[in-house]
Amino acid sequence: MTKLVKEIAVTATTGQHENELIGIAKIPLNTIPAAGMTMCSGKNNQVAEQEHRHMLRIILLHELEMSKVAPHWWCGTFSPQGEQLLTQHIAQSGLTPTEVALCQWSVFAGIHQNHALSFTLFSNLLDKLVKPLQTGAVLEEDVKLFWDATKKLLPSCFSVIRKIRKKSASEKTTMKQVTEILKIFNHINSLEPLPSTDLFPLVLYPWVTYNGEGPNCNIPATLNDAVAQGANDWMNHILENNKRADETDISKLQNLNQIIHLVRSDLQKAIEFYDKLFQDGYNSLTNGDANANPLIEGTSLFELYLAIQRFTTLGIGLCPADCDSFHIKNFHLWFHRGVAQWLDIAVYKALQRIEKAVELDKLVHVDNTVKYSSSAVDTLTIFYQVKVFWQQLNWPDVEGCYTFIAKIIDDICRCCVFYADKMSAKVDGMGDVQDIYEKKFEVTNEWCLAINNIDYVRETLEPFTRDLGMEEVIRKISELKSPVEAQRCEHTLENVIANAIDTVRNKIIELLETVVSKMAPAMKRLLIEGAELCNQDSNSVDRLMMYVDNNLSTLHRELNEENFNRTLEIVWDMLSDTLGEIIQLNLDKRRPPSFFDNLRKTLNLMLGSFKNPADCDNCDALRRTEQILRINGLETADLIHQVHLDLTEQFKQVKDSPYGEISVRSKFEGNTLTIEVMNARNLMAMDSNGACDAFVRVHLLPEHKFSGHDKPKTKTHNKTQFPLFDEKFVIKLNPEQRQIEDAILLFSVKDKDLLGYNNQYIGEAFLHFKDIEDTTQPINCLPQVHLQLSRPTDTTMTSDTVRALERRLGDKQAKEFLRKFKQRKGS
Amino acid sequence: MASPRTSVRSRHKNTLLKVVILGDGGVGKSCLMNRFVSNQFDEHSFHTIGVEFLNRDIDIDGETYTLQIWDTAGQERFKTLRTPFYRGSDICMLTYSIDDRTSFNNVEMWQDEFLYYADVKENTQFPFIVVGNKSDVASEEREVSQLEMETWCNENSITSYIETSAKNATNVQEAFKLAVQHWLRLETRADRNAPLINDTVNLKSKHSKNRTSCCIGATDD
Ligand SMILES: Nc1nc2c(ncn2[C@@H]2O[C@H](COP(=O)(O)OP(=O)(O)OP(=O)(O)O)[C@@H](O)[C@H]2O)c(=O)[nH]1
Ligand SMILES: [Mg+2]
Repeated sequence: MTKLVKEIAVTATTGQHENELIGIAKIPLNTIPAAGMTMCSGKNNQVAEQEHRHMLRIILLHELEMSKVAPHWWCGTFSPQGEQLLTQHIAQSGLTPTEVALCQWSVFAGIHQNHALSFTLFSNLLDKLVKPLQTGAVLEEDVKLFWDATKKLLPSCFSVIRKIRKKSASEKTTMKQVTEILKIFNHINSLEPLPSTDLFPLVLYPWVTYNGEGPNCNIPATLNDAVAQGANDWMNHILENNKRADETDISKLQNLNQIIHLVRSDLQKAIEFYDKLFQDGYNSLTNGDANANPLIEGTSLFELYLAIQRFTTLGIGLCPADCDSFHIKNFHLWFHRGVAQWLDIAVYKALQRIEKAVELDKLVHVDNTVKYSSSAVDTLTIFYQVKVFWQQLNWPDVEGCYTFIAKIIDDICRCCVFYADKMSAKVDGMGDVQDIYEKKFEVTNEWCLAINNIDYVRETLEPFTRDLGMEEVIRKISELKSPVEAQRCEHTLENVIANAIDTVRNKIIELLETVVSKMAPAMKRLLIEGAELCNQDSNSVDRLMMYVDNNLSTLHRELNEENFNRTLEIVWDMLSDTLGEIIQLNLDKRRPPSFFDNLRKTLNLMLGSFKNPADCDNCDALRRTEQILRINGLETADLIHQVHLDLTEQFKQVKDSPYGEISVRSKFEGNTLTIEVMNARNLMAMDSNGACDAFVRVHLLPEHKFSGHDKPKTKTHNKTQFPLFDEKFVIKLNPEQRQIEDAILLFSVKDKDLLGYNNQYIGEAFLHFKDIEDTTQPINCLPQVHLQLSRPTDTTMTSDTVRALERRLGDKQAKEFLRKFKQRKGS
Repeated sequence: MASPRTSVRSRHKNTLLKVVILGDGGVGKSCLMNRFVSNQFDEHSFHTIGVEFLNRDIDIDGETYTLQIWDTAGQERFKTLRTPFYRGSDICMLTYSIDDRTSFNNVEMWQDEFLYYADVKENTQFPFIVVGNKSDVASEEREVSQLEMETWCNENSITSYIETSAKNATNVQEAFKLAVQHWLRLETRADRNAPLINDTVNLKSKHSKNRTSCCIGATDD
């Protein structure tokens, strides 16, 4: 007993260790008194750790020797005696849990090289160590020890992965082991290795494909290599062990069959057992690169598939007669589940490459003849690779083919959307500029390129999908199943394509909207400032006008016509929305008509900047908004006249009026206007006895411009619906009045009230000055004009003009007009 | 079959929602979709091969949603062909036929299959809707009562369920509408409104700033 303790003490203090101790350790340990260990106290930690490591090593070796532990089995439990000894040492030397764990890591990894220990042991230790190592709470020497030990541990981990096929996957322990190993990788991958560590020396890992610079510490990449290498080794192995005994065709085929069976069961195993495991493993890996892991697995399966495909072709070629009876003909069925996964892998890889392509894109035209940049070209290449994959796959089953094509199209659509997102993220934030006046957004070439790129990719979608061999597949379905079903399938594919194209187009519109919405604040400011300051001397309008002009020129120059027109449409929409807001806000504020008039002028100024303002013709929303602006910009008298002008147009459509009609003659001679009111017919009966007492009054409109003149009136003709007025009025206008554009005559026909207080309105008719002939002929030689009588309607009351008048609450003129107007409408 | 696609969306983008319809072969998934999209019904429809796809716009509370509907093949032999389409779904419609108890018992299996292949994040609620089709059949042929279905849904925390008939167009629109509404409820919309509010606030503050500087200029004169 004393001998052992002494030995431990000696070697611990001197740092030497003597291996013969293993033999001596048979002395029962429980007899060692606690006091025996006191000599260790008082030394510094370095030494204490060294001691502890040494003790651990001796005790563990003893333990393994004594109880004949199987490889991969020992999991950290010492015999009670050993445990006691170690606990005492820890207590007395004051080692922290981290230090203890480090000691264990180092010792266990060393021993693991000769006698494999459980991987759970290591992964548990890492659980404790990762935090302190990450936070730098570990001494430099200890860090070095840690990595040295890690280097010793890793080969066995990778060897398990490589030889995964030698284990029975259905065994719980195998799964557990792989899980723990993946955990270990995960942990180590999260640590910053020492710059000097070469974790994977070429001597130990000849199969690693690492080609970076400096020491190799790339765990995910090595893991991929291990998986791939494992698949390769295994393939070679079965090919080797299944060498053909003779050269007859039959044996060749039998042989192939055998191989195929092995491959198949491997595949199933991989999918059943490891797939989910690796999936989980890589999801938890913090580093995105590690995702490649299941991909490699899948890729090697794909290689196997291709190999079998070749074998099969060979087999059928050699033995065409009875090939139908061979199992192998339907080899693809074993891969069914695999294809879906390969497709996922293909998409996954494509997404990664697209991301890279966008990252590398310098956002300059590929050459002067085109308007897109490198990532668009790269993306197409990536799509092309998917197509090549599909062609290589040459899937034999039509139903599967059809479904997979649908999947590929949908996936490619996903890639496009992904590309669009990455592209817009890349340019987002570009073009935000700030000068002495304000912060604003300038359309940049980069923005335009992003849009063009996505559009370019979109355009190739359809030709791409056609190349997947749809027609052939549909034809085969038609043969195999029925034409009706084939048609349904075809329909689905067409829909998926159209949907994909639509989705990407949506994406482009989204981007265009982003651009426009970034321009919106500046344009809104322009409009408001224009409205506030139009007639004042201000350079802000010029400045903002330049802004619109510059940005539109960029868009026009860089975008293709379709997208430029789309942009314009979005601009129109944006403008009318913005204007709508401004108008509403300022109507509520009771801004004067001049405000709206200025706003309209500014708008037209701005529209002038567009390359082709006529494009706006088909933009109803904006035109309507402009109309509302115009109306609200009119002074009240003009607005009233506008009401009449609208009515003039409206009444022209009236036929067979219930109110009756009047016949008039009129002419100009120089500045003299002659009007002859001849008669009325079928006047609406106003009295209870079915007749009326009608007279006609003539108004010259707009009223305020003809204020010097009376409003001529005929005599009243009693008790008739067919009065013959035959009265002539001569009005001498001044030259300005004669020239008034849009002047009109209003004939209002009324029913005279007995007392004269309450004349009832029968109807009215309009005659535009421009429809009155200027002639020297006597008036009785001119033809009669028959005018249908009409009244303002409910629709008139809700027209923009009447509405605008109604909003002028404080305006007496408007109020008075509306009162009378309502009377004219009647009930 | 006339093209049921809605005309190309010109410049207004809609919210796109991917819907998958699952359920045993023959419960009427394809008929439901065709009724919904093109208002047609086929008495002798074929079993779906792999998947079928159609899309249609639906208006809910003044918003337009474009539903991209993947109708899957319910027959067991198509399992490997349909499952790749589950990923990325926004809505899952679990269907059975009320005159077929087995199809109802399998609903749970369908839900599991969906959750396994769709990569739905754990612990998140997913908008499932349970649809009992063929509600038109005579009462003596009914094998699953409405109550039974509701009980199952409650036990499985599925809040949207409905009985439909693709044959006589009962509740078909409603079923899809219900599904989208369920999706809407789960979707947090707060972030969508946030930028709008910011924008207006900004504009106002800028505007008033300009005005104050004007006034100062005036008094200086
Ligand atoms: N009575 C009745 N029959 C229906 C209804 N819906 C569908 N069917 C019939 O049910 C049968 C199957 O309908 P499908 O829509 O093809 O079934 P499915 O679910 O798409 O089947 P798979 O494609 O194989 O998964 C057809 O013969 C339909 O006519 C319904 O609402 N009422
Ligand atoms: Mg179907």
